Amino acid sequence: MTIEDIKKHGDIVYRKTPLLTDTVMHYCPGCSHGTVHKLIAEVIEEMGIQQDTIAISPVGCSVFAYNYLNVDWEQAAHGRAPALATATKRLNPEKYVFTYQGDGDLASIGTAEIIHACSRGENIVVIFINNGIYGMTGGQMAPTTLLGMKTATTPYGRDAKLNGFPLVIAPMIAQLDGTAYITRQAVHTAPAARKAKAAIRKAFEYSQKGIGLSFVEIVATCNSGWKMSPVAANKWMVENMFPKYPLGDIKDVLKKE
Amino acid sequence: MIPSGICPANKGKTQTTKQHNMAFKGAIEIDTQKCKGCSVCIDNCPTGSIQLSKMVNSKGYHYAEMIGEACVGCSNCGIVCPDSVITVYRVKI
Ligand SMILES: Cc1ncc(C[n+]2csc(CCOP(=O)(O)OP(=O)(O)O)c2C)c(N)n1
Ligand code: SF4
Ligand code: SF4
Ligand code: SF4
Ligand SMILES: [Mg+2]
Repeated sequence: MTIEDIKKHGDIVYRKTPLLTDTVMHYCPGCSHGTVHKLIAEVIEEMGIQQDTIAISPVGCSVFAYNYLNVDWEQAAHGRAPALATATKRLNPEKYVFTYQGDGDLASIGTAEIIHACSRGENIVVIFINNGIYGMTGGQMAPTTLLGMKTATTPYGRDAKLNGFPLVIAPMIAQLDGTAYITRQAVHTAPAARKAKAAIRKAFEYSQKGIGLSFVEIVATCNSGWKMSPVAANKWMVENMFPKYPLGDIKDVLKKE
Repeated sequence: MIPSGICPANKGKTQTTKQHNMAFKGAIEIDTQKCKGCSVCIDNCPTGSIQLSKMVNSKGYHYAEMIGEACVGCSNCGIVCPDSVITVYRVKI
């Protein structure tokens, strides 16, 4: 059987979900944002909730997410996505409402908004893309930047004395009674991406149970900001980001012991 | 509906080439104009069935292309492609 025969007679076992538009993403080659967009789109497709989903885009490289994922969108001021999501969900409790935020957006300028949305137990999903850097503005240090990591504003590496320590958000908000599900995932390999997709689906399902906020952190790469090739950035992430931001579930209020 | 991202043969678990070679043959189609040549698919292919072309597309990227006949249709390349430009076909043999 030739390759052409397989294409002609074989089953299609993977294809781009129609929930993604035909617009070419503006992201750098290999950027994790595209992979995460796709996983969210596949979850929405498989759950059949395209008409019932409202998303909030951030400020950061993913500001234009509304051009790529075919659901209803709002675009928030920098860091304020959880506030906008709060209003949107309270006015439309039957809708699935999620924010999509980078680490500069969520862990820096928007820290107050995310903490209070978690504390209030808003029934929303938060997708948190932690690439340890301000990608959009040219690779400056973010609160999540690792110690020793070189960025445009820490050219000799992040120094705790001068720049403080990396801010680890997920375990902080896990302590709050308003959070239902908190997990940390990645999308650099196919098994990791499949796990991340299952986590995103669970977060969407939990958000309709009235049990509080679901938070999916994706430890991600910004290969341009890190000044590496996409494949090298994935390797660097495994070796350097994962020890500080280990993958796995951090909180699940419905998990039976 | 096509189960996007999940390998129906092994319910999404990590696969070995050996298991698959016995049962499936696959092929991929790449939207070369939209491929950005990031190589993440190449790094995730268990059968070495993808390489970057010597040619470039209209954006100047060396795009990914399928090579050889070892593809088993596992969909790894499809799910990790940030730009979702890969379609995966498979037949049982
Ligand atoms: C009020 C305000 N302050 C600062 C900026 C500049 N700015 C744009 S994006 C960004 C950081 C984005 O970083 P992150 O959220 O990590 O997203 P990434 O690009 O890394 O995905 C900053 C500081 C802005 N647009 N608005
Ligand atoms: S700058 Fe970084 S986060 Fe932004 S698109 Fe490029 S790789 Fe992605
Ligand atoms: S992962 Fe996608 S964009 Fe990157 S080289 Fe492969 S086909 Fe092209
Ligand atoms: S489906 Fe993709 S990753 Fe799997 S063997 Fe074929 S080319 Fe390689
Ligand atoms: Mg960032």
